[in-house]
Amino acid sequence: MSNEQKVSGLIDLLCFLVVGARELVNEPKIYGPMRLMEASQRLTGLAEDCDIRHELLAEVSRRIGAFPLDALPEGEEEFIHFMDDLIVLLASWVRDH
Amino acid sequence: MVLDIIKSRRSIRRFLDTPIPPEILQELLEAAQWAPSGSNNQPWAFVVVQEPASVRKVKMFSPGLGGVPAALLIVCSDHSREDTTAIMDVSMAAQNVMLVATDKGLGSCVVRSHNPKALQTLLELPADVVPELIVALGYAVKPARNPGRRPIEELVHWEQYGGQPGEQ
Repeated sequence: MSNEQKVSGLIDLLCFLVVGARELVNEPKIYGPMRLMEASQRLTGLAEDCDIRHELLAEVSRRIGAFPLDALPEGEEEFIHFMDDLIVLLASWVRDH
Repeated sequence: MVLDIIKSRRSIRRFLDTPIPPEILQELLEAAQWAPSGSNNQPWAFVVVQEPASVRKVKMFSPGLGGVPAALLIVCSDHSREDTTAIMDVSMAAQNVMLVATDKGLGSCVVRSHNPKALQTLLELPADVVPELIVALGYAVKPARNPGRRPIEELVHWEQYGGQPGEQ
């Protein structure tokens, strides 16, 4: 991946985060976690594009990609459990390293 | 039946990489054109975005926009015209578009999670033309589930709030 492509990917994520922050002021509360989960997946994707490969990043990306974010906000309870499980995964990794 | 189309419309957020035939796009635009508006003021403007690079740029400033749609219809209020009912008018235009899209086998999703100033800048919109809604359009990767609706008895009141059908 060229440096220009990496910068483009970063700017893409940056726009998503900044616009997301601004628009969330007037959006339903549940949109906040949805946006942050999508940003998390974009971050792992960007890392992969930049040849930063790690099993934890891959697993986080896989889990978020498999979760039906489209089904929200109806499946809010399931979403909360999903995020809790993801946090346990991350905390376990941090504990062991 | 129109009611069948209304009931089968779903919000689609994953799209195939298949372009929308121009004749179908034209029908969608006519559906927007013929929406009702207060005093027939037609206080709207519609911007079609199909170029993949342009779709990507709009998406960068629209966090609620899922997938990569084949086309975006940016539904704008035009405040250079009488605009008292503009928000309702553009909403009805967007619904017209989505219903015709459903009838034509297209998926759609109406999105409000965008930054209006960013889109005004990207699309070079005049200050009076405000992007209110984005209608994402394309062929769905898979059918969306039916999210259901609240029971009609819970929504509808007869003659007065809380009234039941047949009551005097």
